[in-house]
Amino acid sequence: MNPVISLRGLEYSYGKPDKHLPEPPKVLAGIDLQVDGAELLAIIGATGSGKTTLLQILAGLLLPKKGEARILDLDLANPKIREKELDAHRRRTVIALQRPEEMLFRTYVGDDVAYGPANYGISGRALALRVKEAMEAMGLSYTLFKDRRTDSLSGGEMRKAALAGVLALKPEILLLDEPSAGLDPPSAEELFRRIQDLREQGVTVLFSTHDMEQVMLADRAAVFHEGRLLAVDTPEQLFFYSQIPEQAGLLPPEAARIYRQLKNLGVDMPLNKTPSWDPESLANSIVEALT
Amino acid sequence: MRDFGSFGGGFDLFRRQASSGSLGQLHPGVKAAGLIVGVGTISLINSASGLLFILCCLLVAAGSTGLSAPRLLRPLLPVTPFLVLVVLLHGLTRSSSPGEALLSRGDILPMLIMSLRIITLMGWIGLSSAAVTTPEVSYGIEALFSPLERFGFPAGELGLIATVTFRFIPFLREESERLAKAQTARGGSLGFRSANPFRRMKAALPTMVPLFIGTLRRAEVLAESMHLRGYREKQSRIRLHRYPVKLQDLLWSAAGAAVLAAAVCMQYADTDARLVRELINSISSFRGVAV
Repeated sequence: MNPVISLRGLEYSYGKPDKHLPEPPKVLAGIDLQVDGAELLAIIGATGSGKTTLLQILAGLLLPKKGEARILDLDLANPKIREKELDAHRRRTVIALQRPEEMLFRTYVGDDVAYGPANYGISGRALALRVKEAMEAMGLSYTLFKDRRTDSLSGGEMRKAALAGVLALKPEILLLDEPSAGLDPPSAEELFRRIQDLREQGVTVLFSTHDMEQVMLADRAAVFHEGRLLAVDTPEQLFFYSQIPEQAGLLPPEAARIYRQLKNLGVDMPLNKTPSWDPESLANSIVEALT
Repeated sequence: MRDFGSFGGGFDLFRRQASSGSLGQLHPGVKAAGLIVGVGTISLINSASGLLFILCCLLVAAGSTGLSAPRLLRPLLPVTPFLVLVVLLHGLTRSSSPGEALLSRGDILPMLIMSLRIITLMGWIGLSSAAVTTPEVSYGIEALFSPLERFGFPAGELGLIATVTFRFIPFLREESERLAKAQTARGGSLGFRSANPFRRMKAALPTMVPLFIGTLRRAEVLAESMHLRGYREKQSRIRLHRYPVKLQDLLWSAAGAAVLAAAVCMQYADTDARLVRELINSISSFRGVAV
């Protein structure tokens, strides 16, 4: 079975070369990444490391300058790629940009959620059903919210409405650029529960974030630093057993830092078990190790 | 195919860094005065030879500051269709009767003056924009009108308006690009990446309303933040960067004034008649060779 996403030697730089800047700086260089099936992949790195650019390339908004970018069997790096092919690609691979609530531009929530599917020719009852499913998947009651004005929603509701607009396209790959930025912890937690549900339904989800606690919810994490991919591994492996996140200017979750510090102090933690990242489980492991 | 990353830096009215030549080092007030006086004089001059003289001087001045002729005349590109139309209209609606010579002085001179005026104006604006940075424009406006402050003229406010306006140009570009991306990701408004300017214009239409709302929202935030940081109307302000008047400012001002004065004088001398005679002779000899 072909991989869902296959990147080989991917390069990207903004702008065109000119007399003053013959070679624009590379925002991404030598990226090799493979995603085989439905999984939750976290894209992490400091600001300016190329996370957003990568997601926009995968969404077909930016086209690779070099290398290979095969997404659902379409090579986005092919210079002869046609707008029609990209359009079809964007229907299967959907992105929610940073601050997705700013993507809302219709007056009523229902109309805004319907915008995407309507663009692809879905109408009538099928469209209403799509909108209902998408809104309820994001925890917005269809009857209560479909006729609400988008500017009357709270920040969290706006975010959910915007993500419902993306989900209404029923994507095979969902790309989320910092989906929980600016949300309070319970709303972010609820959002991630819904993202995990999507993964269970067979959707491949890639999300970028600066919250390392959220990264622990992912199946794998890809660490970016100055446009280069440093490593792709499970969050436990990256945070508990490697220094790679620190090399990329990231601060591992507190549980990982406590675990590593205890190890440095000679407390023999059970290494045969995958360390639990949540504080309660970690506390139990510590007690187990000390007694 | 072009992607969204190729559109960055499209708007280039004033530079972030002035040209390195002596023209770029001038006092902002001199640059602002030069722009206003130059544009005003060129608009009023009704002499082809005078306009041609200014254009030649512009090319020399551009050369001395390291600017190429294409860069100088770049602002002419958007008005080229208008220029061609004007020339054609003058050519087609000539006043001479069928029995007269193909091109008489009465036909050719207005056509020549109109075309030269547009080319010279654009050249003058091109030279000014290449030598001025955006902060210098606002400082220049303030410096130019500061003598009127004693009569209650709001020179400082005018400079501030220019600063805020220029601050909004990149914001508008970023905002429209973001909206275009958001809509494209949901299958809407295809054609943003088309090389065809009309298709791009059509695709931009649906972004106008959210762009307008977004701009108003940003303007409100900016106004509030200015008040919070102590902005008060009619309060004298000081600047961190000050620009002293130097000898080269006086020399360039004198040279500019001399060029414009010479061009005005040419209007009253009979230089246009000789110019048109030479032009008609050369066209006739060309036609003779062609026949």
